[in-house]
Amino acid sequence: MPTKRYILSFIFFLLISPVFSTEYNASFFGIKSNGTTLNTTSIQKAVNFISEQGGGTLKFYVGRYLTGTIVLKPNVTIHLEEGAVLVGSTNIYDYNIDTPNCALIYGKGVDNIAIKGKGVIDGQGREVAYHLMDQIHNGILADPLDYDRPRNRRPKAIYLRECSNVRIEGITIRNAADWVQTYDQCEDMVVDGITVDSKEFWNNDGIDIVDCKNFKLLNSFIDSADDAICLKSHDASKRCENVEIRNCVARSSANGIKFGTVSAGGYKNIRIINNKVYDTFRSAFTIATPDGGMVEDILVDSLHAYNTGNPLYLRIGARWNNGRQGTINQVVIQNMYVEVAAEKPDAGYSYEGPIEDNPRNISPSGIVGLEGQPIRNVTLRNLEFVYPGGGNPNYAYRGTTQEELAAIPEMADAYPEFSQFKELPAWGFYIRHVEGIIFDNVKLRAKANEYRPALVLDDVNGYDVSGLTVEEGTNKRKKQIFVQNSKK
Amino acid sequence: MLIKPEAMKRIAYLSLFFLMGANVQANEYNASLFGCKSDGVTNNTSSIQYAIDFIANEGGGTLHFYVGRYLTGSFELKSNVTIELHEGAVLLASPNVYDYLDYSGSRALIYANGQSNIKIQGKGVIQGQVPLFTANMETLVSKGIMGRDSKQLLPDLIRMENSKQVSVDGIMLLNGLENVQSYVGCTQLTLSNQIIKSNVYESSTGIFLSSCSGVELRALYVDASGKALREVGKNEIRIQENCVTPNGKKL
Repeated sequence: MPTKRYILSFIFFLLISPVFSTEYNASFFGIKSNGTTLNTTSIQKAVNFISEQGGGTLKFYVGRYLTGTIVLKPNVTIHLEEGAVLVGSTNIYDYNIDTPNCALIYGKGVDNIAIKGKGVIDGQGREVAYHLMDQIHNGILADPLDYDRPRNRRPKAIYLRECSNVRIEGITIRNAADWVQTYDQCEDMVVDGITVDSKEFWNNDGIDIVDCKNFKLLNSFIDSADDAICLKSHDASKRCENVEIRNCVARSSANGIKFGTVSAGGYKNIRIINNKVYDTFRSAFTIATPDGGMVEDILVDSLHAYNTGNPLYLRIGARWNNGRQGTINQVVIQNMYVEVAAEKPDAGYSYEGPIEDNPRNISPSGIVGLEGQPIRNVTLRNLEFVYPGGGNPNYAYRGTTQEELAAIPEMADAYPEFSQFKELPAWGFYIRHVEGIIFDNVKLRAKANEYRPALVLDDVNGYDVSGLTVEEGTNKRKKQIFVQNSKK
Repeated sequence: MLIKPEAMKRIAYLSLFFLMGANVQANEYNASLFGCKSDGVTNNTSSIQYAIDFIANEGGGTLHFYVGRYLTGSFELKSNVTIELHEGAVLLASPNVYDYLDYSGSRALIYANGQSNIKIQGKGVIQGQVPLFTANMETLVSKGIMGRDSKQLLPDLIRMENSKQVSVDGIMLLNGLENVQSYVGCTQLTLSNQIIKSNVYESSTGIFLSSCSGVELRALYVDASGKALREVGKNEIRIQENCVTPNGKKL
């Protein structure tokens, strides 16, 4: 019976072949799930071994696996079964603090890697940061303590650089001491169905996608103390390209979805589709390019935001640009609905967004370029932004006379943030230094009366506001559009 | 003892760093040096009080709070100590009534008596948690643990008595109880560049002055559910300029 023999040998081949995914249980390498044994060396041995065998999966079943930094190796998948928790050590010296981006899970230049399953990675970030802080105060580690917190050596939960063919699926990531997960110059990568729950320390960005190409972030829930979903560009010769963010929900005590702040190279062909943002202190969506980055071909479609501090902020600056000129060109924002909060929208976070740039009434959306460096070709289509209104001129005042508008500073080298100008002369949109902007079925609504108009355009060439409708409290005949130094 | 040059160098750097880390300048102190946590949940009362006493013993200086939320109960200011709340720093008043000390019949988050040269400054915030606090208090009253006259023990955010050269500059004061800030028998008192918003408690006074002299009020915005400024006894207000309420009127 040759057929039977073929089948048998084929099965045998499957079993021994290292090319086919091979699974190893963590216990096989002496890894303990008791939550107290420090497993760093055992897990590292397992990863190295599996990689040397040609690749495979390291499986963690239910339990708590205490560990320091694990360095990923090619062709290895970490699989965290439901109930398995990789627990970050609270000892700062258990991390690779001598590398610039230390992390619990670290990978550089490795291909074909994955972290999957319904398990959890818990960075214990606050405790790690406190231990680091103690070591700094003891004089053992040197750190300048920006804002009275450690500038360097705070471990991320995951840091991958120059990796390709990467999948992060299903897992939950908790409580890093810094950015939760950073993917820097990675290619062909998919992050799908993950949960981020990290509100335990400063700079807890939910996910940072830095200079990545062909990247998809899908079906994920991200709740983080700093920006939730963040694209960055650290290298002037690189950029984020072909990035898709789809079906995600973001909550943040900073921005919901953000480009920047560091934007050296730029962003091209970014698709942000069908996402929700809520309880955010700053903007639901913002693009900041203060460091010379070129931003082009951006689509935001179907973004719904509730209880947010600000709907939208697009900004060119000149901060660390070294003479290069940042640009924003071809931005389409459509089918966006936003409700702006009257009170502090992120109340209840341990690390709430800072009360700053006061006095100011509720800030408008902003599209603000620089003099001679306009933001180009912005289409706003089917938008509805709802503001509380009620701005009080006795608290903070900015008028719309020529002098008052000219007195608004450029703030080119300032940290770009929707509130940076303090009080602005509009409640809905403040638009300055823009070339080509279309309002197509855009509705701005203020619930209470305002002393400011809905829209101020200053130094805008080529505008079409025929598709704008405004409602403001009981004011029916107020002049809502104020144009200076601009032409259609 | 023989020490290798590299080791010497390391020791030199280390001690240099320690010096720099401990004191940026001779009398500047970061809150974290005393174990203060900006996480919004750690109660920092004893750390802050220890820091103030320590700085006062050293002859004075500044305690710096950077961005973050610092939960605390009552603490006392001492002569020659400045509290600097940098932009984004929030001193968050504990909602627990027992976290407030009784200072001869009055309570306050920040209290001083008989001190001189004391300052609270910066763009930071001092914030009460009125609904939480009053709910806690009502529970205690209904259980019979606190008397019904407990109302007079509602803490102010700031209360200073019999002190001189007092300055509260630039601070935002949010959600006080009966009095946001009160000054009794103080001389050379300057309140400037403050934003006061206190509308959660039903009748909250922005500034309470009693028997103070040499008072300067500059650039205050007072949005309070009670009186913006309440005076008892004889006060000498030397200057009042650019002080307004939400409807644009003077205090």
